[in-house]
Amino acid sequence: MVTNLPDDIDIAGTKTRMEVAFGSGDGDEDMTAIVAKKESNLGAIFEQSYKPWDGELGPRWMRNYSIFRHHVYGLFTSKGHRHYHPFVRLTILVILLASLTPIPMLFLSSLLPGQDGDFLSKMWGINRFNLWGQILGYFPRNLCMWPLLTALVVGGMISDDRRNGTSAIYFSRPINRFDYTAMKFISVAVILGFVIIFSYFAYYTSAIVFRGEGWAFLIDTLPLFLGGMLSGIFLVLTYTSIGLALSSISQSRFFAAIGFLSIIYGTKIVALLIDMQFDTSILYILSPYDCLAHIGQFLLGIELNYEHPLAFSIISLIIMNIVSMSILVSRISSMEVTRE
Amino acid sequence: MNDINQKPPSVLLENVSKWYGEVIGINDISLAIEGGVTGILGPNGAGKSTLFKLLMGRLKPSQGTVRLFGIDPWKSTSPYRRIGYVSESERMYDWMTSLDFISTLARLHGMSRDEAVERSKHVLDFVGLEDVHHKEIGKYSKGMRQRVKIAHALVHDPDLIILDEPLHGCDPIARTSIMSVVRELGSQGKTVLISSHILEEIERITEQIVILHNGKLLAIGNLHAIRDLLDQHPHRILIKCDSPRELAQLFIREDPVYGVRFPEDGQLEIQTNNLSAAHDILPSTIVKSGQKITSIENPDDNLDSLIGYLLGGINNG
Amino acid sequence: MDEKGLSLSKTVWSQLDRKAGAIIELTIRQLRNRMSTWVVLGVGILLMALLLAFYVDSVREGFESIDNDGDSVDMDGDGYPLGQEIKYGHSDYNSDEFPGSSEYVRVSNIDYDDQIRRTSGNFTWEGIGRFDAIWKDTKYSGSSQWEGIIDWNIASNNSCPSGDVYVDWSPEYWGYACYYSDDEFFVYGKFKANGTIDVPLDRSINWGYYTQPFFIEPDLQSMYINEDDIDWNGNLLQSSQGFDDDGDCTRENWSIDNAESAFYFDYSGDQFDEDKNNNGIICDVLWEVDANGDEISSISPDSNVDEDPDDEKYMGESSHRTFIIGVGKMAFVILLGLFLPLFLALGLIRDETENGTLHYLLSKPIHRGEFIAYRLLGYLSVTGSYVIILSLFVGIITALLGPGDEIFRISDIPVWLGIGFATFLVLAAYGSLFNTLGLISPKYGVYVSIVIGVWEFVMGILTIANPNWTLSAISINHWALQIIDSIVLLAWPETLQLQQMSSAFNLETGLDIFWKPPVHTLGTSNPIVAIMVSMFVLIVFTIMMLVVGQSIFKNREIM
Repeated sequence: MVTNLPDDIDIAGTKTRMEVAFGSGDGDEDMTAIVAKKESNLGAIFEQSYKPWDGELGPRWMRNYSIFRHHVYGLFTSKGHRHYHPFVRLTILVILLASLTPIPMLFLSSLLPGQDGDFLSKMWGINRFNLWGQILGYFPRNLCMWPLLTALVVGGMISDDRRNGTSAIYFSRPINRFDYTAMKFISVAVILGFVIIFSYFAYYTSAIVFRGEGWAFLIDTLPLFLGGMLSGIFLVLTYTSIGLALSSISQSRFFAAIGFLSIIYGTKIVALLIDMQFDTSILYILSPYDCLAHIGQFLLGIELNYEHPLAFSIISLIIMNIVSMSILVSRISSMEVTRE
Repeated sequence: MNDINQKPPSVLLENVSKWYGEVIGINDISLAIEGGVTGILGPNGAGKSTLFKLLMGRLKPSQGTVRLFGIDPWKSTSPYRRIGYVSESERMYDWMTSLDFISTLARLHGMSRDEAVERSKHVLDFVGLEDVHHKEIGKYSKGMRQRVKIAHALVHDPDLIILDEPLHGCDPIARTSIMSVVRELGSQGKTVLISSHILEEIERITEQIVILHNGKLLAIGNLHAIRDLLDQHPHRILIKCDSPRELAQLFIREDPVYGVRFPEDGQLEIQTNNLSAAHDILPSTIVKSGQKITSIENPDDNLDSLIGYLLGGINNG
Repeated sequence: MDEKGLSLSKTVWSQLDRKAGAIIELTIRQLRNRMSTWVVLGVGILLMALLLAFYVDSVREGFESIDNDGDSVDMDGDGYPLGQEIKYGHSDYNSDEFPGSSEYVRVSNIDYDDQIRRTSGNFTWEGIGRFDAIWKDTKYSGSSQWEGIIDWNIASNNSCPSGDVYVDWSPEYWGYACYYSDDEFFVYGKFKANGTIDVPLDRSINWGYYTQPFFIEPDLQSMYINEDDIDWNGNLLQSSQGFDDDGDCTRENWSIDNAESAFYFDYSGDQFDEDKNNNGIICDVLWEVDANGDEISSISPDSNVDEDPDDEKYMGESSHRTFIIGVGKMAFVILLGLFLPLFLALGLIRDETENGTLHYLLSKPIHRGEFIAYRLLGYLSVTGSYVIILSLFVGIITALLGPGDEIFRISDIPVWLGIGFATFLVLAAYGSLFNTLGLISPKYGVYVSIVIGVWEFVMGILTIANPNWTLSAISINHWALQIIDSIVLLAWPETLQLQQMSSAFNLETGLDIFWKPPVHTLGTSNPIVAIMVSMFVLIVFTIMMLVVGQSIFKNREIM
């Protein structure tokens, strides 16, 4: 039983597998595969010739941008983009709203006359401590909000690719591993930054707008604001690199998320225990949060409440970032493009 | 077990339907099976696995009743004492040795540790894995893995064995050995249900078949009986040659042939009531014509067209 | 096997037993086969090693004496430490005031409504009047212009305006003076002079003199460390004990009579009150006994009594206990208790479903509820034994190294066992909770578990800070921490006293931070009741979660 085949099969115009996987074409539409056939009574040997697509490749940034877009747009719509679980989206929204709570208070302070308004603006208005607290305050921001946010966002970022073999989507295209890693990193950092630094920025601007502050105030507080923003950027970068490193060594998004929480919470609580018990703050250098808080205190000119020198925290933070980045890089460079 | 006169059939389905939302998995099937090997045939998505999952209490029937030895498997796990089930899932605990794997599962039947190990060795020998008791399952070939799965289903000496696509993905040697295991089980008087979408496989094991298509029961009974019934239906033979019209003139004179058609250029379709008789006359007629034939096809000789006929004349399903 | 044995082995119970054994064993082997299990357990051991390292280090160094009340400082730089200044009734913010410095003593005054409005003498004056001077101290000056001391040089060149004072003109500022004639001045301020003064109606003047300064040897700052030890003779029946060794409550050297009315703060930042505990005895400590009459339950000292005890004497035992309680609560219950289940329990059934290996297990004659229970038992036998062994190990080391006369502190072991037990209950409760969440929603369960994990962590910290806060009771951690609090009180009944001492006498042991008497005693303040209540809550919660989980799993269609 031998079946006749047409002389050649032209699959031009149909969707290639990668397009289906990637959700959009990016110039491969013209690819053709010509399959010819030698006739025989008993069987057929197919001679395959592949004519590669030799059109012009889009610029590198455009390809990279599509990876970035894939991850970030997924927060808003999952159609054609990375799927974020609705529960994750909801939690991120709640965290964003919670981090914006000082703004209604500032608004209220601008409405209330006299002492009440003054009290509110003293409590919520711009000063070194509030700017520090907006990003680096322990309760609730670094206890409940930022670690949870990072854990949820970062969890499946790379581990999903490892688990499902979806890294093939990237690596079978003109995208190298550096681009892949960098774009994953930037995507996570942008999502975290959107919540953490955006809320910080919104807090600062709304304080100025609602209180009707002038240029003098702006000039006075801008260095503080920038210091706080710098510490916010450090926080985002550190949390992102630790989180992605965890995500790259695990196959389950859950492990990465819980691992991140346990690192942030575990180091903090152990250092706290030792500080209270043995009266030494040195162990705080193991806690990413405390290193960041220490540096943030310096940047904003608040009295440092750690006994060890600032340099220790800075060095420790740098080491944390280097170690997690090198884990991330080595894991991704050795990642097999398959379902593990 | 206790009352022989009232012994319920091993497998009994009464007007069972199962649908997932809008999709119908099983559509109003009534069936009773007792003794021997029964092949469940049907193309992918016909409802074979759904049927087995209903039997194994994984799914709750949307309608109708399912009984295993007279007990509803959704409500009670007690029939599983007498059932061995090989699921279509490929995954196993790859880090365990086959002996560990099977004896651990055997202990879930209430065997003691020693009993379980002894039985496990026995069934592993039975399926032909004598030499690899202490090798990790992860290092097994596909056929060996399938046999481990079958062994695990036999370890408690069940009365009813359900095998979901056991031959799937096996090489011919593994296939032959699994088939002989299944035949052996059938000859021991156990009830065996085995599913496949390839008729040939089932044909080599049993003659008792059930055909499912689109969740419906299409045919049940002896394979040959069903074939004979099908022979009453018109059959087709497709011949590709240089000048089909000349060839048609020769064929139309033969007795079993009652019609010819020219579906495309260079093609001749012969219609017959008696397929075997038509095949008998085929070579001589072709030699007589002296034409060069590029192919002879029997488009109805597979399960799809069989089902196509049963459904009422859908061509080349 | 004989016939009797055979029939016995066929009973339902022995079969159940075998099934349980098989699933538990399978679960243990599965956990053993996973990398993450070893990572998590290894990190737990590292954590304990780290804590022990710090503990050993602190034991080796002993306890440094610290200035518990903070009176060894000399903030104004006059050479006298705060403790010495307080004894003499001075503040440590003014370098002009120090023990032996000259003091102003008030003699008398003419008030605004007094009949006699003229007086004379050689005094230091303060007020308003027309002064006929015999002698003026032109060198008398103050440290700042705000003190209102009259400068006679300016006054002599400043003729008073014509007309009556307070009718036609008024003095311009405090410290103002002007000249009439014949050494007669109008004064409004402070000055030192001999003469006669007439005070206008509705005005007033005070007068007095400065004492001679005398020299007092400044004490060394180190003398104000451990200078006021706890004076307690151990007699439970005598409630008023304690003695103000350093005299900063009795203030016997206070030289000034009006210091009685002065407003002072004591070291703890409250208003100074020599009978702060209201027992009618000044400068003592009130030791109150609990209802049974065998333990000190509350200690309230008067201001500045026994406030700087000898740390060496009291810190050792308290710190040792604080270490055990702190490690038990934070490292065991909160960290291990929360993260072990998060890592190990959530996948117990979910992973099987995802991998498709659940089919093998469910095609066996086991009820699905049984299956869940056995899986959890398997997980608990790994994590539970790990936690209990770890707690005993740390316990044995600290019991060997801990303070006290005996070589091995036997009384520590029940506490460590209690910590292990409380952690075990937490592991069970979280295990069944996370497992059930995974069953209720295979997709959402993971995320809900993460959020619950964060919640539990926060509530655990808050429970340590304040167990009375009702909200924190809506967490699993809370109840396990209560068990530890109760067991501590049972094993070491005098912990209550140590805790009271550390908050009453400024001992920085941390005991009052990490340990508070159990809350849920149903009004009996009996720790056994608290243990029972907490165990009940945890066990009922675990079982409830199991029931919910099995009822969901039972009706779950498995594809």
